[in-house]
Amino acid sequence: MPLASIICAVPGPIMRDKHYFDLILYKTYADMRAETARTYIGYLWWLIDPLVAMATYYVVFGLFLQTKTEDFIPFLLIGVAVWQWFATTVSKGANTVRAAASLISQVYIPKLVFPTVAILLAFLHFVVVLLLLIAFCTFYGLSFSPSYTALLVIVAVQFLFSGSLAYLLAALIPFIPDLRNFVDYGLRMLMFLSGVFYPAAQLPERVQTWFYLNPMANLIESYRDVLIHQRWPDFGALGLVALLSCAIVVPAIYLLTRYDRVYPKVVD
Amino acid sequence: MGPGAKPVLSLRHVGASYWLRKGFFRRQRFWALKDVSFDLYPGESLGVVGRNGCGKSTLLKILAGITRPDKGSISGEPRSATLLALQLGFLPYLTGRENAMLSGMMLGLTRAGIAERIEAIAEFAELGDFFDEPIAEYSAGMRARLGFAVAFQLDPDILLVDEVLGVGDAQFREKSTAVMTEKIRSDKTVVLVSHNPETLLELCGRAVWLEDGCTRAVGPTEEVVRAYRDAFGPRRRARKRPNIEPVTAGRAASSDGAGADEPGVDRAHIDKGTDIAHAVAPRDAPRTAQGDGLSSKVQAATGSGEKCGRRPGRGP
Repeated sequence: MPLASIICAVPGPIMRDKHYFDLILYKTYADMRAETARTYIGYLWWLIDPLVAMATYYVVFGLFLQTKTEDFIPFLLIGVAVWQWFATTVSKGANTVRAAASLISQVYIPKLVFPTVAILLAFLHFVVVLLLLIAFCTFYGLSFSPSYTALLVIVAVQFLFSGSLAYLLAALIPFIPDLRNFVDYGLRMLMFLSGVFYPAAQLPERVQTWFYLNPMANLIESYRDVLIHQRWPDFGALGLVALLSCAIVVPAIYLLTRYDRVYPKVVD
Repeated sequence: MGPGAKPVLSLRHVGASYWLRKGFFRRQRFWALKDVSFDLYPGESLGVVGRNGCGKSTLLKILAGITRPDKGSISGEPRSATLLALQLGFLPYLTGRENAMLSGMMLGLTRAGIAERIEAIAEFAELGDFFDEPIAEYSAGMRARLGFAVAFQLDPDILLVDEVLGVGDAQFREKSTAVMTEKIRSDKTVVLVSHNPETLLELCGRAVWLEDGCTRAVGPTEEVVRAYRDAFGPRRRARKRPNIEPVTAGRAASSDGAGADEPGVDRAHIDKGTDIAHAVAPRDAPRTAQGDGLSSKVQAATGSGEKCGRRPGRGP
C-alpha cells in the first residue's frame, strides 16, 4: 500500500538513527514542558484556546447571523478543533528550520528533526482535544456508532496532510523568507473556505464543487460525518487527500535532506 | 602521536562560499574560505590562529560537518567532530536537569550516555538544589556553569574549541580552564581556535595560520606564531629587515604551486618542521619586493590573495 510506505518513508532517515529519534521525542517533551511551565495553569491552556475560539464563533455565527444547522455547538466545536490542529501544525512547523538558526550553526542536527517536533507537538495537543470532543459529543446526546473507527483513518490523513505542508514550508522558508507571510495569509483565507463555521449544504450548488476541492473542507466534513451523523466518511475523498499529501511530502523530505548542510549557511 | 601517523582528517584546497543577498534576485558570492589545506593527526592539538574575518568560524563549521565545502576535498572519516557549544538549545522554563539532557543530546550524546553523566554534570556545575529549578531563575554565571558542565561531557573523535576555555566567576573560571586545558593536553584530538597566540603556544603542538580564507602557514606552533606576529604583532617592525631573503621567495612559490595538488607531497612539505619557511614564505615573498614595514602588511595580504586567486573563486 503506497500510503503506508510513504508514512514510513517520512521519518525514515531519522528513524534509522536511534539517536535522532530519541532527540525528537525528548525535544517534543521539552517543548511541551516549556510551553506549560511558563504559565500558571499550564496544560489547561490546551483547552482554553479552542474554547475561546469556539465561543467567539458561536456568538458571531450562531447568535448574530443565526446560522441554521442542527447541533450547532458540536458542529462548531469539531470545526474549530480540527482547524486549529491544522493551522498550528502548518504555521508552527513552517518556521522551524529558520527558527533553529543559532542551533544549526553550532552543531549538526538533521533538519528533518525540527518540523517533526512541531508536528508531533501539535498532534499531542489535538489528541487531548479530540478525546474531550468525543466525551462532549456523548454527553451532548450523540451516540457511538461503528463509524467511529473511521476516526483513526481521518486523523491519519490529516496528520499526513498538515505534516506534508509543514515539511514543505520548513524546507522552503529558509530560502524564501517572504513565504512566511504568505503562510499566515493563506491560513486565514483557507479557514473561511473550509466550512469551519458554516455547513457546505448552505452553499449554492455551483460553489460546492469548488468547495470540496479544499482538502481541509473534506477533512472537517469527515469528522462531522462520524461524530454528529454517525455515518461513514467519504473514503474516496480522504484517499485523494492522502495522495495529494504524498505528492507534497516526498519533494519536501527530499529538499530537507538534499540541503541538510546548506541551511546553516542560509539562515545565518 | 602527531605527524607521522595517518591523519584523521586531511583538507586539500578547501573553499567555502556564502551567497549574500544584494536585492531582489541579485546575489553575490562571497568566499569565506578560499584555499585551506592541512592535516590533523590523531591525538594532537592543532591551533588555528588568524585575525577577525579570516575564516576561522567557517572552517570550524566545515570540520564539524555543519556545512560542506564548496570546493576542495576533505578525506578521513572521523565518526564525530563536535564544536564545544555552550548552553546549546537551552530553554528558559526547563530545569537544569532537563536542559542538561536536551543540550547533551543535541551535542550528540546518547540519551543513555547523558543520563549516566547527569550527576557528574550537576556536581561539576556546583548548582546544588538549583539543578532541579528552572534555569530562568539562574544567574548568568550559574547558566554558564551548567552550559560548560554539559559541553565538557562531550567525547567526540575530534573536539573543536572556539576560544572557550573557561567560563563563570573567577573561581569557576579557574576550575573550568584547568579541566579544559587538561582535556586539550590529553591524547584527545583537538582543534583550538584562538585570537590569543599565547594560548596556542601553551596548548598546541602545531598550528595553522589562516589569512583571508587561505592557509598562510602550517607547522610547529612557535614557528607559525612567530610568523603571525611578524606580520601583525607588535614586534613586526623590529623583525622586518633580517627576513628579506629573495631565495626564500623563489622556493616558496615553486613548492607552493607544484606540490600542492598531490596530497603526499603537500603533507611532506607542510609538516617537516625544518621546512616551515616554505609554508610561511608567501608572506616573505612580497615583502622582499616591498621593504617598507607598513605596506608589507598590505602586501602580505594581497600576496596571499593572489595565491588563492590562482584557484579562481568560481568553484564547482
